[in-house]
Amino acid sequence: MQHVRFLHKTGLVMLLIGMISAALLVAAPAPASAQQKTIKYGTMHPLTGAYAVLGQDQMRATQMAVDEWNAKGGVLGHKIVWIYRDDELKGNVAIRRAKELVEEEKCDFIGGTLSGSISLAINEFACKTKTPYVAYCMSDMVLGSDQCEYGAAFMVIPYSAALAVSKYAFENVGKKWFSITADYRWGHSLLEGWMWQSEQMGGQHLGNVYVPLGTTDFSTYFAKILAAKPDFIVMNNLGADQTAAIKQASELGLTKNMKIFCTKTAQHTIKELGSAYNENVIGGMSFYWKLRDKYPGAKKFVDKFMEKYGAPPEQDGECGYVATNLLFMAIEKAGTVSDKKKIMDTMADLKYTLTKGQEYVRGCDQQRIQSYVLVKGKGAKAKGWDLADIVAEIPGDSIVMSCEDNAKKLPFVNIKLPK
Amino acid sequence: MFEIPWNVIAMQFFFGIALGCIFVLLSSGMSIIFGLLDVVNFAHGTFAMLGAYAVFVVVSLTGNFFIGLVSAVIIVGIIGMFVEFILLKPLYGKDPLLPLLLTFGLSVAIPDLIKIIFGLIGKPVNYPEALSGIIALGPVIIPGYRLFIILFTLVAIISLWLFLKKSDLGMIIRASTRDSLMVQTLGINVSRIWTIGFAIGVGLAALAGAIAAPMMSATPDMGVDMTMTAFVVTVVGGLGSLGGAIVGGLLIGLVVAFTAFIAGEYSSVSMYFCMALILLLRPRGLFGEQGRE
Amino acid sequence: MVDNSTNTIQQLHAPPKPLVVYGAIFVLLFLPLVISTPLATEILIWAIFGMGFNLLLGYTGVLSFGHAAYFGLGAYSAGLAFRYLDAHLFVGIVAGILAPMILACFIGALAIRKRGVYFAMISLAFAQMLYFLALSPLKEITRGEDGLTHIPAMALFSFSLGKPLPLYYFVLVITAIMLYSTWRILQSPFGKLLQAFRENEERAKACGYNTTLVKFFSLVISAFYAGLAGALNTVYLGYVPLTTLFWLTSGTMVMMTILGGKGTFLGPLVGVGVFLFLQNTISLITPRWELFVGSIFVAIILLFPGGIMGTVEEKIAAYRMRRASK
Repeated sequence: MQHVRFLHKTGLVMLLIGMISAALLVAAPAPASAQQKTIKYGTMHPLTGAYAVLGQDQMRATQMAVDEWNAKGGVLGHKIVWIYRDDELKGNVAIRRAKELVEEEKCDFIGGTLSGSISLAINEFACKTKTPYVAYCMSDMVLGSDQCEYGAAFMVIPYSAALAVSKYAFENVGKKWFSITADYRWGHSLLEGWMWQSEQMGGQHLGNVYVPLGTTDFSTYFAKILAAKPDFIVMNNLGADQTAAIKQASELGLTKNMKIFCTKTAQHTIKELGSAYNENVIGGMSFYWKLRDKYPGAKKFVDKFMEKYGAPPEQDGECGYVATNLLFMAIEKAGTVSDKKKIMDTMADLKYTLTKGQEYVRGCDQQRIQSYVLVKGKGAKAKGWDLADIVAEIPGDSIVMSCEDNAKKLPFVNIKLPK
Repeated sequence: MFEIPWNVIAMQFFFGIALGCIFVLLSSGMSIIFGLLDVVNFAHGTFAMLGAYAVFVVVSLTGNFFIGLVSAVIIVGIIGMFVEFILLKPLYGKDPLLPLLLTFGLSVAIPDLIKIIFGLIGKPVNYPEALSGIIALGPVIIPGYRLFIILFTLVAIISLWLFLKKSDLGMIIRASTRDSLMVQTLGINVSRIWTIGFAIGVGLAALAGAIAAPMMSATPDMGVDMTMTAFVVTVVGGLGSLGGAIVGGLLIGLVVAFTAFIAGEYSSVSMYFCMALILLLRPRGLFGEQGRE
Repeated sequence: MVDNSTNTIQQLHAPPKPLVVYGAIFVLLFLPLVISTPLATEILIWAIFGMGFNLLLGYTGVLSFGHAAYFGLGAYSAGLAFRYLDAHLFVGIVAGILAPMILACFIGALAIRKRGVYFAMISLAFAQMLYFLALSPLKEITRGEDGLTHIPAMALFSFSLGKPLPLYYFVLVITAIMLYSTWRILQSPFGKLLQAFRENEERAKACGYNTTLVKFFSLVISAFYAGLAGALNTVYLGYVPLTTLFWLTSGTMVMMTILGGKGTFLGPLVGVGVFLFLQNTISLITPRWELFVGSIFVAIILLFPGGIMGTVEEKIAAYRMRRASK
């Protein structure tokens, strides 16, 4: 027992010493960022998990943009130091990464992330720490209470995507529609957009099925849809869910005699689907590489990306490229690297032409106003990366709500979603 | 709204059975492995994923889906033999949790290997030409491929059953499931039987993955859900029981199909509700042996 | 009371010396100097989770493959209390502890009697049920896939926990308390009983102990740890991601515990630390870090089934034995 008591004592003394040193550690002032002439930009991408393809493109495009700026001599004479982290498409990891980037690596600016839910959380973190955050994701973070002046959204927001695709569908295909909606906020936002547009344009919503994320068998839903006999089916889902849904629609012969609209699709989804993604399947994207035939900026970007990585960029890559560029353009125009509020204010009214036509970042809610592209598949005729053809490009101004409405989520907040 | 046409119900029933058939293939493999080796194979879905990739490779080489199916079973079965021989054998007789954990480790590592070999983007597997049409029985529409799944599963399960019941090897496997020590004393190399049993089990998983591949494309991460489904079905049917795997698979398939029809957002959770309910009412599962729970 | 008996269990798994407890805390005091503070904080939180998990798996011999249920429920209970009720820091944490304990009572009452694999599967079923409930049907409250956001920054007696280092030391104080409590539990008659069961349940039963009851309490105590860790996770993240309830959270926990060495006192701490550090470091080099982490895990199971601390303890025991025989 003597022995044990002794050990207790030694332990406690050690602890005491430790505590004092730790207290000193907390009290010590953070080392002044003595590094001269650099600015630090940290990004997070889902390099593992279900959307690793997209995360990889985000990362690559960001690297391209940073390299281009550094080749030009950096921003305002500051070399850009860029680091990236894998957020694993998991909320807790993403927050840890964001904390590491801001608190440990002392990044001046952060960016990236793909999942809307993660971006909302990071946006909140950015607001709390007053770190400018350029989001590459398709989230609602520019709406209502989620908004703060330090976050900017560079992907088309869900409502806008829904408005663009629905406008085309009601004008060109028919009025009776049935929807398959992934059962989470993003899917619901798309559905709200569709339903509002349907009211405006005299559409007839025959029904909707909510499908949990990660569903692999959609055939059980199609029985219901076939019975309703719609003009077209709307898919408000993404990734593996969309792949399975369209594959199984094609199995039932639906892609032969009915149109299918994917409110948002992706290049890799079309690739994964192979011949099932035929000309009756129309999907929305914020960027498709064939825009290179239309815009010189797109050509420059796509060709360079192809040359470097051997595959054309996804829309998420383009988004990362533009967001990164915009951040540095704003810094340059603001003439400061340290006044973050001024940088964000400058970004908020920036007009620019980069990869598509002329675009701008809207001042009131810091979202990039951009066009939305609709593509139709090529089915069995697809070769290499020639997977789809562009059928329409819907201008950005026609698919966003006014600043006042956006802040109150109008008119969508009044839409009653089906049970 | 309240008047639900009978043809939709009939289609739902049919889809439920077809879905259940995939579950049957998956979980009968898991059941054999558990019954014979007492190993809960956490990488079961991963082997199914390998089956899907095998069918992709073989179809793009030969152009024939049916050759693809058969070779998927053989390829993955051989991989399974190696896994059992090199990785699992050293663990027998030690802590019974170790094989479970080892297969869990495999389920983390193998998908990354596939990503390195085949890239991050999944690979499409087309429906075989002969089966891609739909059959209309009046107002009931049935895709030919689903009908094929049902018939094919029927054939596969009956051959498996005949193999286990009638062939010498099958009888030894069944005997080893009962009492491997006794089989050993009779002068049979049980160790080799275990390797074969594991290969058959993962071969069935590969078959499930291969047959599901046209419906969802082959993707590196498709195995995770399949492992979970295989667990649920196996536990519902009773660990180690082939009959249980069949009944459990069809039951879960129907439950998922009809929940999807009535309340779509509950379709994923329904499977687990079903499992919890059955485990609480009948802990050993529908066909589980008494005393093993 | 401490080092009195010399039975076999004690020789196999020698009780940690008090020096080990204090030493571990001492080392943890300086962890933020070596690795990033958020990572260090996360290691502490997962270590608390791991200590409870180890008590159940390592010391009682019961595998639960659904521990994410307790961790996630703790995180959500605390988060809901913070977000909707504006609860005080400690009220939220208490809520985060109580809810999982109640769930553990429920699951334990239903299923603790079952054989190992069945209990693991039932736990898994319940955890997945919670996950899917939070994902779709209950999304009005839990915000579904978005996770629970808008959780206010916490303060401890007007001392903000928003800054990384104060938060780290706040979590460290709790970790230290839990480390010490675990040590006391293992020294207590109850702790001895747990270990006796793991070594030979039949014999313990024959001695007249109610094994079911002891396993039940072990599960509930384990849920206490998991809930506490979940609640701290909410304070740390300022957000509850849905993945806290996903089965991979349980799977990761199992991996960490085995890696560190189940049934060893420092195992969970070491396992969590090594796992998170490896994952963090390898992912800086290659996005295919899962291949390496998975392979390392497989290799450890094959070569050192006792895990890191288990192997270390074995070596120390062998060394002592050799010295004693000399």
